[in-house]
Amino acid sequence: MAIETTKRTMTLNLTDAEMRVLEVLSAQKDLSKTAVIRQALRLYQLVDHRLASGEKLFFEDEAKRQKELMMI
Amino acid sequence: MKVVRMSDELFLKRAAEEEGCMISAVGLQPLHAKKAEPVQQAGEPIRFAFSTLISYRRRALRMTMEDVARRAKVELDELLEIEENSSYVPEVRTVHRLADLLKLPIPQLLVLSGNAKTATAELTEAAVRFAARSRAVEKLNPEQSDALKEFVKVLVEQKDKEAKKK
Amino acid sequence: MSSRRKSRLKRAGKNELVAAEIVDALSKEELLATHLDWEPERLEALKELLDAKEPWPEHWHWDWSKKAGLLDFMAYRCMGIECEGRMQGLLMASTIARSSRVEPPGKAVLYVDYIESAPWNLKDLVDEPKFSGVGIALLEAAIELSEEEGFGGRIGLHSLPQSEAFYRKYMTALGLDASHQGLHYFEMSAEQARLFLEGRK
Repeated sequence: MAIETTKRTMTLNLTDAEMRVLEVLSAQKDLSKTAVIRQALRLYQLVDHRLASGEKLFFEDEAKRQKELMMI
Repeated sequence: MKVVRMSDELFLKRAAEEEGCMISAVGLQPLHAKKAEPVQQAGEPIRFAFSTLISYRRRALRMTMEDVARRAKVELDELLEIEENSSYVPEVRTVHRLADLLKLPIPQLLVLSGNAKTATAELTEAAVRFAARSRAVEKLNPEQSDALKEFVKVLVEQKDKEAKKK
Repeated sequence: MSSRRKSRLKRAGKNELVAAEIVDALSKEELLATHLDWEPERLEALKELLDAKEPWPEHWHWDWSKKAGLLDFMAYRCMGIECEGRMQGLLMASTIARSSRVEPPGKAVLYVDYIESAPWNLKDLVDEPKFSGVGIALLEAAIELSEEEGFGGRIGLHSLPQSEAFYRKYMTALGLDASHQGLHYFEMSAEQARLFLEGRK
């Protein structure tokens, strides 16, 4: 019942620090490391597209009424 | 974890309960978006008329913003946006609740707030006249009071006219 | 090319199952084609709603070509349920995990951006609805997708007011959400998803 019929495998070379971040995110979100990487890829694709079309990315703190531009 | 498929028997039972009901769910906001696009943006004077109408009506009924927010169960900061920012388009539910509390006709309020299709010529004209006569001060002077009464009269007349058409 | 898997619907008014198929990943074109197919019946219903001064679902006015454009991104997935040659229901989900508001500490939730049944299945719009169980079948498909993504079957969505009674049966109601036009937000936990499929409330 797999939705994706083909999957390909690649080896990721990460530093110790990067691997730690991946492990922490995986534990925090209760997702496998692969699932975390897939999340990152999806987010990156979306964000990259909008930035490429000239838009800007902001973080907003409604309580403090602060907005911060993400320089990417 | 392998997903258990619902049995046919259970599906039939649940489907019978669902029969003919609406199941629509709607988000479709990409992660960044906060407010959905309004159906059609009303023109400047109409939006200004909406802000002013809410503000004046509230004051005519001698209510503070906190009173209105509490009794209409709307967010105070949204009410602030409505009264002070004429380009702000409020949520449909908020408009309904304000209309209920302030005793204003809902269909016309939806148009003025930018949530429904464009106004009739009479409504637009009335909104423009009202906007032109209004100023943002704390207490309504007799002139503003008159302007408010006249505008509300037009809104109610419009509502009755549309009801008679049916 | 979308993959298909077996499903079923119930013929309305009869205790009869009809074979259906879940189309796993609709393309932009297939999504638009579905909306075009639904349009004539929707327009009919819209006329009646306008006459009766009833509110109509705002998303009927949407520019669907823009929404369909979201399918260019891996973050969005559209599924449909097809029966007797026509799409009977649609679902669009965001596969970028949202945080659960039910299960601490913020476990991954599949957010259902959009779910809808074809207009001819709704008793508010037609005298004799054709099929029922579209909502049940699509919720089932959403749970399966959530599982595939590693989200444990968890799903979240904002319900239109007319649909709240349906979602209340199977999901946790979390209140009106000011950041989503005041619509009611519902969530199904992993446990609720399991119970939904197995038959206990």
